[in-house]
Amino acid sequence: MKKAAVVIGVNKTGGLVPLASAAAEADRVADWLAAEGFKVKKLTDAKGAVTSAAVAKAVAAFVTPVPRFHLLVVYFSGHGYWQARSDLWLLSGAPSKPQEAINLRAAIDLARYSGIPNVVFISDACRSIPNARGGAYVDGIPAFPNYDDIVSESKIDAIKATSEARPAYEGDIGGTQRSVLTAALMSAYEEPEPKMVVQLVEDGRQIEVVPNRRLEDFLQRKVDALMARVDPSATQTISVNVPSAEEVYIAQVRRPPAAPPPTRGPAPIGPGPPAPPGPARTSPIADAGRAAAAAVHSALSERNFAPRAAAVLSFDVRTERSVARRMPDPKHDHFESQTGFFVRGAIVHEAVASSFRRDLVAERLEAGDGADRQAIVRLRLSAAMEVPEKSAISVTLRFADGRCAVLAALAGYIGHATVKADGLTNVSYVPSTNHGRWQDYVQRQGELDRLRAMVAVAADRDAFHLRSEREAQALAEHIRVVKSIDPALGLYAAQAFAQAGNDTQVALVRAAMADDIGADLFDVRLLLGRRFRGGDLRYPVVPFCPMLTQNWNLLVGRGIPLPGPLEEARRGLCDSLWTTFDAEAGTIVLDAVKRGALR
Amino acid sequence: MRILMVHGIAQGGRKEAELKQIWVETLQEGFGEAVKPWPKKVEFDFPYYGDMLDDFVAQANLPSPATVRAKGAGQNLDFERFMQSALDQLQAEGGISEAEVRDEMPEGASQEKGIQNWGWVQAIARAIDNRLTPASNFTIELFLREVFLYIARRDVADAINAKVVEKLTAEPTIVIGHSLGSVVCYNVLKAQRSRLDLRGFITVGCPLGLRAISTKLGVVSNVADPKRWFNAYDDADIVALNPLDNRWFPVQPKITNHGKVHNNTENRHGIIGYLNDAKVAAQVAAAME
Repeated sequence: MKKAAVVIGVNKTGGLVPLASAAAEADRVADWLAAEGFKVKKLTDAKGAVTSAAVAKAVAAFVTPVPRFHLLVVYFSGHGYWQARSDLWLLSGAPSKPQEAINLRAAIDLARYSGIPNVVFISDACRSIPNARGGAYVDGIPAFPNYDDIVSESKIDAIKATSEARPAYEGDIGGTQRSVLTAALMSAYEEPEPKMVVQLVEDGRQIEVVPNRRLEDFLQRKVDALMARVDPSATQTISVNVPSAEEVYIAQVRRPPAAPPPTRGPAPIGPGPPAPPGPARTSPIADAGRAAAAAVHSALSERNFAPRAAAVLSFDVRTERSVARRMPDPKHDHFESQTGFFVRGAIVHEAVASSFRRDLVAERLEAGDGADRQAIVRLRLSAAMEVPEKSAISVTLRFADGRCAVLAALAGYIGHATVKADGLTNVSYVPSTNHGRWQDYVQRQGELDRLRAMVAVAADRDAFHLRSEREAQALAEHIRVVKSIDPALGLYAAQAFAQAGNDTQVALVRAAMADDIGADLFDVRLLLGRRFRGGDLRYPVVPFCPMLTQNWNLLVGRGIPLPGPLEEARRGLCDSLWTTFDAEAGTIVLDAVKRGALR
Repeated sequence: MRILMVHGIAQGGRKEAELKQIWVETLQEGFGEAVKPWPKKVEFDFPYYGDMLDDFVAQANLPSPATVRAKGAGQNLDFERFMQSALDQLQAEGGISEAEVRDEMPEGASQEKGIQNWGWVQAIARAIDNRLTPASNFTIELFLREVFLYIARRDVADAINAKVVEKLTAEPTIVIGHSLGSVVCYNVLKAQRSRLDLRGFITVGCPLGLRAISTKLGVVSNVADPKRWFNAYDDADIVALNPLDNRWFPVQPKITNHGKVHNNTENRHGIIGYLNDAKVAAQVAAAME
C-alpha cells in the first residue's frame, strides 16, 4: 500500500485574526502520517507564505499521470470560507488575492480523476460566509491536475470540521493550543472504541486500524467533549462523507502506554476519554439536514418504500417545518399550457424565456406578494396555449429585490419554487394535472413529494450522501415514475451518485431524464464525468448555467468555459441551494438573456 | 522450467502451433547470437487468443473512419478519447511533425485539433503508418483498436486473461510478453503473482509507456518483484517508443530497459525481430539459472 499526504497549516491569512494552532497542527499531522508510512509534503507558514502554486505543486508531486499511490490524504488547518456552496481554504495571500485559496469542491471533483483509488480530504477550517465584498471574490484554485486519460473514478472521503456556514474552533486542550477537529481525529487512533477497530493482515502482519467509515460518531462525540472544555457556549457539528470501502483507513491504532498511577497534585487538563454516547451538541441548522438525511436513508432501506413508509417518517418540529416548506402546493396543480412556475416567498417582477426557442414565451400572470399569494409564470407557444412535448428552455426570474434565478422550464411540468432570504431554496417539478404524466405521478404523489422534500432539506445542508451501492440502487428505483424520472429528484440523485463516485448511475439517470424531457439539465450533464461536450449527447442543455449553486465550482476543473456575462455574474452568487444571483449580478444576467447572449 | 509466451495483436486466423514454433525458433536464434547453450529441459506454453480477439473486434463495432465521417464524432467517446490521447503521444514522441499530419488531412478539411476533429486524429494515424509501420497487416489504428478493447472492456480482458491463466503451473516459469501480450502478462501477473514461481519477466515491443494505456491499469507496480522485469524495445518501434522508466511507468524496483534492439522486421515491431536479440536471449538464459 503506497500512501502520500499533503499537509497544509496556515496561521495567518491576510488581515484575518491569526490562528494559534494551524501550523503546529500541520506539524503534528505530518509527523503522525510519516510514522504511518505516508510520503508527506508539508506546507506551513512558519517560515514563509503558503501559496496556491506551492499547494498545487505538492499535490502534483503525488498525483502523477500514471498513478503511483493507493491513498492520498490532503489535510488543511487554517481559515476557511463558505462561498458559492464550496469550502475555500484560505492561504497566506487570501483574501486580497482571490486565487490564493483552494476551492475544495473543485479539488474534490478533480481528485475523482486522479487515478489514486482513495483520496481523503481533512478540512479543519471554518466554513463561514465571507462578511465583506472582497471575500466574495475569492474563488481559489482546484489544486489538482486534470488528467484526461484517467477514466476510473476515485473514492473521495471528506472530513470537515464543521457544518456549512459555521465556524470551527481552536483552543486550549491539555495545555496546548489545538484545533478541535484535528485533536479529535488523532485521538480516534489512540483511544478508539472497540466497535471502531478492525483487524487486518497487511504485509503478513496483523494490525488494528480504524476504517474511515467508523470515524464519524466518535469524532462528533469527541469534538463535543473538547468543545465543552474550549468554549461551552459554542457548538461544532462536523460534516463527514465517507463513500470509501470498509477496509480504507488512514492510520493504525496506536494506544499510548498505560498511564502511571495517579500522583498527588492537581490533575492535568487533558483531552480525556470520549464523551459517553448521548445527544450531540450540534447546531440546529445542521440537525435538520442530518435528520432529513437519516430519514431518507431509512426510507431507502425499506423493502417496499410506499406512502405508508413516508407517513411514518416524522421529525422534530423544526425539521418537519423545513420539509413542509419544500412540498409542492397542491392548490396549484396545472396550467392550460401544462408548463410554468409557481413561486412563493418572492415577488416576481419579470420572467424572461431565453431565445433558444423563439416560439416559446414566458408570461408572468401574477407577481405574488412575497408571502401567501404566489407568483405565477406560464410558459406557452407565442401562437398557441401549449408547449410542444419534450420542449425545454431556460427561464430567468427577476424578483422585486433585484435578485435573479435561472430555471429550466420543462414541457408538462409545473415548477414549484420557494425563495427565502438566502435565495432560491427549493424547486419541485410536478406533472401538470392535464398532462399524461399526471396519472402515473398521482399513484405515488404523497411518497414522491415527501421524499423529494426530505432530500431537498438534506441536500440544502450538504448532508445527502449515499452510503452504499444498495442505497444507490434503492434511490435509483424510487426516483422513477413509470417511464420518467422526477426531475428534481433526478438532479439530487445525480448529485449524490457523482459524490459517491458512481458514474454508471449518473449516466443512467441522465439518459432516462433526457429521453423524458427532451433535454439535459445542465447540472446532470455536468456531473456526467467529463463529457459535457460530446457528439453522442444530442439533447440541448437547459438552463444555460448550473441550477445548483455548488456546481458552479466544478466548471473550471472540467474545462467548461462560461459566456462572459456568467463569468462576471458568478461573483454575485447567493448562498442558496439553487442558483440565485444578487441584484448586481442579476442585472448582468437578465440583460444578457434579453439580448440573446445567454440561451 | 517453463517459458510462457504471450503474443500480441493481429494474430487472428493464424495457427497456434505455427506461431509457437516461430517464437521458439526465433528465441533459439537469439540464444545462438548470445552464445548461450539451448536448454535441454524446457517446456513452452503458448496461450492463443488471436481468433477470440478478432471476434471481439467484430462484435464491438467501434467507429471506423468511414462511419465517423458519415455520422460524426462522438459515437464512442471513450474510444475516440483513447485514440486521440494515444495518437497525440505517439505523434509527439515519435517525432511526427504537424506538417506530416496536415498532409494527411483531406483537402479543404478543418485544421482544428481536438476531440471533435476525428479527421485530425485519423491523419495522425496515417502519418504514423506512412513513416513507421509500412507492414500491410499492421496499422497503428488496428493496434490501438485491439488494445482499447482489451483495456476498456472487462469481459474482453477477462476472456483473454483466462486463456493465459489456464496455462499457469506451479513449475518455475519465465514469462515473455510481446506488444499487447505484454499488457496481458502484466495484468495476469498482477493478479496471480503469488501462485506463480516466476523466474523472470521479459517484455518486448511493450506499449505500457503509452499513457492512454498505463493510466487505465490502476496504481502501477513492478509485477515481477523480487525477480527482474526486463523490457526490450527498438527505439523505432512506434508501439514501444517509451522506455518503462520513472517518467513513463514509475515503479519500484525499477524495470531494466534495453532500447538497443535492432528489430529487422518491416515495422520494427514484429516478434521475430525481438526474440533473436542477443541481450533478450541472454536474459532468458540468465533467468533459467
